[in-house]
Amino acid sequence: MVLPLLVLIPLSFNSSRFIEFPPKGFSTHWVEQLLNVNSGWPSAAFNSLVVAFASTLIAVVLGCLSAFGLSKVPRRFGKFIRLSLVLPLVTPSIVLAVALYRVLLSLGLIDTLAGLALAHALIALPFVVLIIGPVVQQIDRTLESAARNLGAKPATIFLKVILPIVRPSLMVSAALAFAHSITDVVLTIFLTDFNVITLSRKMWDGFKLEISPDLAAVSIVSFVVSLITILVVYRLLRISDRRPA
Amino acid sequence: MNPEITKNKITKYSDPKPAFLGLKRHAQKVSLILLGVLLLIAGLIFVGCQRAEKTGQDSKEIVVASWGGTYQAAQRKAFFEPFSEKAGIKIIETSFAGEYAKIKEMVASGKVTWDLTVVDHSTLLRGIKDGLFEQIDYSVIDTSGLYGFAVNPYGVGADVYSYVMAYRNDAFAGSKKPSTWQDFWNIETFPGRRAMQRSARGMLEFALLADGAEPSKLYPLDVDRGFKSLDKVKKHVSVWWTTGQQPPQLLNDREVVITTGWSGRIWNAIHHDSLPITLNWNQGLLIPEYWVIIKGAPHKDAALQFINFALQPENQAILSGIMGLGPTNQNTFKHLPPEIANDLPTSPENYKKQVLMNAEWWADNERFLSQRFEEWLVSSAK
Amino acid sequence: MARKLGKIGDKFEDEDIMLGLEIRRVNSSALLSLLLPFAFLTAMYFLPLLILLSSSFLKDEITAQYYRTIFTEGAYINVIFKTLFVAGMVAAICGLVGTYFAVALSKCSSKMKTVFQLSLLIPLLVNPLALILGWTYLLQRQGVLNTFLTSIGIFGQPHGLLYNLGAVLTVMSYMLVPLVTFPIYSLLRSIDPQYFQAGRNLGAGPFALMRFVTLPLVGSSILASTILVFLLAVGYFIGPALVGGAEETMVSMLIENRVNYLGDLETGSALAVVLLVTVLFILFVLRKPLKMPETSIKFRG
Repeated sequence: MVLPLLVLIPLSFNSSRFIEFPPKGFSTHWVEQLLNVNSGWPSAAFNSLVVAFASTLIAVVLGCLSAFGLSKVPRRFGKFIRLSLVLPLVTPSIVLAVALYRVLLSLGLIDTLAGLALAHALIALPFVVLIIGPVVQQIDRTLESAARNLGAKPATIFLKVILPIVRPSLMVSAALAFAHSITDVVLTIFLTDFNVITLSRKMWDGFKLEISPDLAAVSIVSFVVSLITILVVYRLLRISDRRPA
Repeated sequence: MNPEITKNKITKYSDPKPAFLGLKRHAQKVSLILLGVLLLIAGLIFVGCQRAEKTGQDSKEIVVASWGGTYQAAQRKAFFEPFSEKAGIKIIETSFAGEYAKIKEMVASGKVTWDLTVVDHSTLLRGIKDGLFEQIDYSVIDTSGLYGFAVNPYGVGADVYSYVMAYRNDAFAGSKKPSTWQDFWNIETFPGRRAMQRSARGMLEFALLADGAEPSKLYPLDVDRGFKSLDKVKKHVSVWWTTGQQPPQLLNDREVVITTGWSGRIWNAIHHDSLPITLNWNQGLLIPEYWVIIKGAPHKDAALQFINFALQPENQAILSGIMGLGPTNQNTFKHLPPEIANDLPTSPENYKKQVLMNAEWWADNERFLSQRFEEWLVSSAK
Repeated sequence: MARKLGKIGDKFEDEDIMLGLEIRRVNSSALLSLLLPFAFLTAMYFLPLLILLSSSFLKDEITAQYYRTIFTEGAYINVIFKTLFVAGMVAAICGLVGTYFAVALSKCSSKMKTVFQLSLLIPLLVNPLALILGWTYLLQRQGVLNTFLTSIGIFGQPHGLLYNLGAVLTVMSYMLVPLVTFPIYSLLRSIDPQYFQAGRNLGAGPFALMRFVTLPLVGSSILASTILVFLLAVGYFIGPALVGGAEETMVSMLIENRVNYLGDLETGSALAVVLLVTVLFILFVLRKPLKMPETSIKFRG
């Protein structure tokens, strides 16, 4: 499973412009390029991060609202809502991309950070709902009533009672949403042009227009970042395992 | 706190009206949160829109869409960077793979974000028909030295290139090397995997030439004959490439041994990357390319300024030196060493061997034939 | 709504007691909190889809001609079947390999488990383009695999491992296998070992154990995951586009080609609608085995 990434490491140091095996010479040129602002990679990374954060935020907020609302409405109605919340998940991303393109174009949101963030939030939302939905559902109602009886305002109830219980799942779903945004390619291709270049977009352009070892270098770097994300999530899960549900 | 709560609790049991109060309080909190979130999102959208608008108002920049890879890099060196420095106008680059629909959609939607791009002759004519380009204000363009074909009401000549054949030097044992498209089609004498451009335009001509058609009598193309001829070579084509950078890469990787390609990229690969491949000018297709300004472009005047710069012979010479492209300004030859001057698509020796692609015919037929070609590609007749 | 009282097993909540007022209060805030997400969904999902649908029918007048073309032109039918075929194969491969991985995972030492799990997460958390680059590098004619295999003599000469069906299957399976492995694995973990104990006490060998203990419990989950993989594979774009040949064109690539390259928005939309309807249809027909909303995908606990 690690194979594709492993082989990219030596390629990142290839001295010639081509993707060839075995690599011709050793050169840190491509890795240096990554750090060079002129190459556009650092700003691409920055854009990717901004979009990922924004979309995760939106998805988490919307997801919490949905989960909260869902837990309180009658079954049948809730089923319908949950279904429609999950739909973006099973819709092929190309269908979403083509459909969203027209709408966002008329809103003037194509090639903007906001537009892309909203689109990513759309596909992240189902994850959040799916993950924290059951948890919110299972929250012992008596906890809530007890808090209310003690005089807590709804906002406090939310913050001090519900949130801590939901937090681990929330973290997991947030991490997932973040990962999905960083690794998204299809939506990015369709919805951006030259103003908002994210890592995915730059890599895709590279693939289509000129494959050179800097793509390999980027891949390794993004892998390292993802690795860190995985480890963080893993730790969080460990922690949540020990918490009483 | 206590009396409030007691009040609420008791009133909830006994009196409907104050329940409204309870309702209001809870709902108030929720609506406050909602409002906050709404504002946040609205803020994001607002900021997003602002960013998009920003490029519009700034007259100190132009957006240029080119074809990526070594070509764009060469343009950067010859035109974009020097122009930016000299005129103080920032050039924002982007790339595309020639998606005609993209330009069309942009103009149709009224949200034109690109100023300049480079298109080949048939696309120019096609775009003129579809109303996609601005008229060139020749009162500000210095046309001295330009070839006749380079001056079009809607576009100014950028360079000339060819669709050519290229193959690995070590691909074919023996001294006989492929020279015509009949050779390309000839699997027995020249075995090995082929790559061809995923495009009706160009490939149909090659197919007809391979089938024995007279180069001077190619147009109007006998389309059915062309497709029949393509059928013969289809199973030997392992890659249908879509971007100009692929042919040199494929040859370098030995993924294929012979391919069609764009002369500029191949030339550059041979002279600057020292790839062991050969560029075959014989039976190539000559194609002039034009700078065009998208209709409704936000920075028209700056774009015209840029075009002027790109027409200067010294600058064109840099491009030709890197990519081996034919210049549109005759005076460029004064700045080119003979080895390069004789190895261009437009050099007399090479010019003789090639066919000029009929742009008018393709402007009329490209749309339909692209579709037919795509369908042919995925149909099961193998 | 207060009349909800009385069903056996119903959670008896304080709200239910109060004369429907509390419930009304709760519901309205619940509805309010659902308002924003729903508005978002409508604007970003339902509305665009509606527009998509309409553009597949409209070109100067309402017509179904684009759908007619899709269902009658040989080329389109070919691609649709090819897509279903490839997706099916990928699903089958993932089902088998994924289950195998899950079983192997459950039998590992705890240290290996972590490593294994981490490596399985790679396709989910690393940019697919990076992974495809790696695969391209591996499968190229002069790539790692070819060079390795020819040098040790298995291959007489470099084989064409890229730009064909095999490459597409490999890459797509690689990307989707974790979706099968993780749910199965967590399920395996939760099987009460006493079942196995009982089975062994009754004299069952490993195969029988698998047949009578593991399979019934895990079977439906395997099926569900496989179907999920199929649905995702049907809409896949970048995999087939970058490592497949012309033979491996899938519906998603057609859509992209029609919309971006040929400017044929109508056919592209029609194809997109067909794709979506297919996915939804399968989802609907097979919704029992899937029992979707409650099954959390990333259940690792």
